[in-house]
Amino acid sequence: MARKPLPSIAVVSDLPAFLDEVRTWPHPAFRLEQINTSKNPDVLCFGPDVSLSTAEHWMSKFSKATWVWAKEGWATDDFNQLEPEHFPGFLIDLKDRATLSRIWSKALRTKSGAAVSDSPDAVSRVDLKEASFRLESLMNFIQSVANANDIFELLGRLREEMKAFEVVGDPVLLLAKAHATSQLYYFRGHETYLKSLMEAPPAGHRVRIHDPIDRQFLANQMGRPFGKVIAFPIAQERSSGWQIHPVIFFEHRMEDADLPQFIESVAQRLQAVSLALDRLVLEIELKRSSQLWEKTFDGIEEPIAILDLSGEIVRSNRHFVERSLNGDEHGVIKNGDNLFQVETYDIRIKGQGPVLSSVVHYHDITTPMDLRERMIQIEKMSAIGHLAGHIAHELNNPLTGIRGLAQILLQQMQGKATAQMIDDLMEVEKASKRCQDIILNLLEFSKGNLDSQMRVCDLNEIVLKTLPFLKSAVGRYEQDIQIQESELAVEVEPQLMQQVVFNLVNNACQALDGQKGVIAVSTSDQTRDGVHYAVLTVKDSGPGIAPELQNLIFEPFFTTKKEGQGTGLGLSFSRDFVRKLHGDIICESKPGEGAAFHVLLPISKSGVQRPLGEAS
Amino acid sequence: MKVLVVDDETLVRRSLSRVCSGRNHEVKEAEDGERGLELWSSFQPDLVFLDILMPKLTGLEVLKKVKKSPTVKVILMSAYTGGIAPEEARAAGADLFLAKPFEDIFSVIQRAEELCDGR
Repeated sequence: MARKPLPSIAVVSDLPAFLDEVRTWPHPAFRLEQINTSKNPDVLCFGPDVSLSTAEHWMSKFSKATWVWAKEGWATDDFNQLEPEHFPGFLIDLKDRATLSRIWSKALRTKSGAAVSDSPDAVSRVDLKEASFRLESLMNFIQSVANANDIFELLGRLREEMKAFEVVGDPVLLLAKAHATSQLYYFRGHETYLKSLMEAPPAGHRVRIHDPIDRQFLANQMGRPFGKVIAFPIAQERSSGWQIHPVIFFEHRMEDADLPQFIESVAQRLQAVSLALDRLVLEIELKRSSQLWEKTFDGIEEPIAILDLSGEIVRSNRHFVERSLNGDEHGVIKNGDNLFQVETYDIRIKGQGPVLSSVVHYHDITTPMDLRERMIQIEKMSAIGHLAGHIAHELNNPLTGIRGLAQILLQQMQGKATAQMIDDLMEVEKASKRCQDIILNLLEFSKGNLDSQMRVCDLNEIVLKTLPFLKSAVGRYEQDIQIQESELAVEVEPQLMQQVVFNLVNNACQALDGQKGVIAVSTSDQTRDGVHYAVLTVKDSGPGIAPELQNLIFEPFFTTKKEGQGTGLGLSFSRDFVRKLHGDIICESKPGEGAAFHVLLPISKSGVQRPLGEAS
Repeated sequence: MKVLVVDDETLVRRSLSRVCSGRNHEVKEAEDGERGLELWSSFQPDLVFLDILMPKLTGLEVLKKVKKSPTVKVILMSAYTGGIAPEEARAAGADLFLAKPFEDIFSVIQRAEELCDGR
């Protein structure tokens, strides 16, 4: 059986420890022998104890050998002073197995048939050693690619591994994807490149040697001419089911005779590369989908948190963190300017499976609440408007007659009737006049925000116009009405402002809840922070408002009233309205000492405007 | 002067006729639009007080049906201003629009007389 002649390695050293170390090197393909002038060794290995002159002596003798000088542990001064450029061979670290493998492989390939005869036993021993060496270096490779952190690291290992074949270029990796953009990974010097392909890459499942299509493809993609190219498609069914077909390309200048060894060497490593690629591509996908998930989770506009079974926060999104939430909120909560409905639900793997975690979702109900509030207000006012229109018509007709007849009778009875009768008739006329005014105010009030317009009004007048509507509510309590005599010009929608007054006074009455008490309504003006305000104060001597409720009472739908007494919208509407006009409503209360609401409205610089036909 | 008062509210009719008779005008009353239309043709009034919201025919419908001579002055009245605009009343053929209740019934009749005198 024809057998490749084995390369030989000659060691020059007197250090027993070094010789022992050399014997453990992964070079079973070599015969290890003491230096001997009669034989040409393929590798000449100097120990650290050798002097430069000794080395030069042997190097001149065996000029064709591969020269190796080993260091580490045994270095002499000579060795330490040795500059790499003074030694034309390899300076190696004894522990650097990768370099050793490369040197041995190189020696193996440059070895040109120096006949060495061995006994068959010796040869088979050497074959076994060679096989185990190959296995070891393959194992090293597998281990290194298995630990690769990314595709370029994997490709780099393959590049290192194939450096032994000197006329082979860097590997180029193509990830051909069935339903997505294919990608090309390659090196240019020390730089790594990743390119997305616009055109369909060459397909096929067999190793292609010197296929012009591959050469053209690489030349097009990388923008330089390519020589001979070997393509190694890695076609394997994946358990992960990814639709990716990797191909590794090598450009080379090898002689045809060297190809089988190269192809075999690559083929032996493809399995490991393929497994590592499988893992790396999965990792990339996983990372991408986890990033996508994270971005999506963070991008959700409403706060969300995931809690474990003990209630600890496992994950939370950006809005949750920014709003400093705790994850243990319930019901409707206020956070900043927003109102959230907190919902908690369990996460299970399967429908009825055990609970894994729970999700706390904060639905932002600020806008819907606003809208709902507005809708209710508009509907309410529209209903009142219809009702008021109807009442106005039904009452105004008889009132016309009553007032008209009273006026006629008064004229006809002058000098004919008693003073008592005249006085009675005058009362009838005055009462019908009062009714007429109330109906007019009711009509104006009920127009609501349907067609109201901003204009400068006297706050005092608005309050005085509104109070009659509250007669039945206020009437049973002691009243203290103090309206400032001088005009308080404020720019408001008068009907809406009447509603604010109505709400506050009505609330004050409800706070007294039928018990004895005082309702005080006053207007004044004062300057706060340099702004001149008109102030309306509505006070009651009721039970007061607990400090923790004083902020809540302005929330939409918050109410402490009995069912049917209020929607919980009055104060929230009132404050919204007043704030829109750059004013505010301030609540002052101590439990047991009643409550006061101050409405502040900036005093308008322009004078009070009256609609046409309305007398002051 | 012949005055026709068309209104479904008794007290309105009564007060207007009372004040018109007091000033020596001849007055007839109609309690709905249909009766008002009849009297309009038979009585041939110089001045008509016409309510808008009435049973059978509204004031505006009466105005549409009647062949109104330009010498006849019409005062349209309504207790609910939300229902009609003065321009609308004028377009329908009314010479004046008055919202009920009146501030002063004597000034109403005075304006009506001035309206008729100016024809």
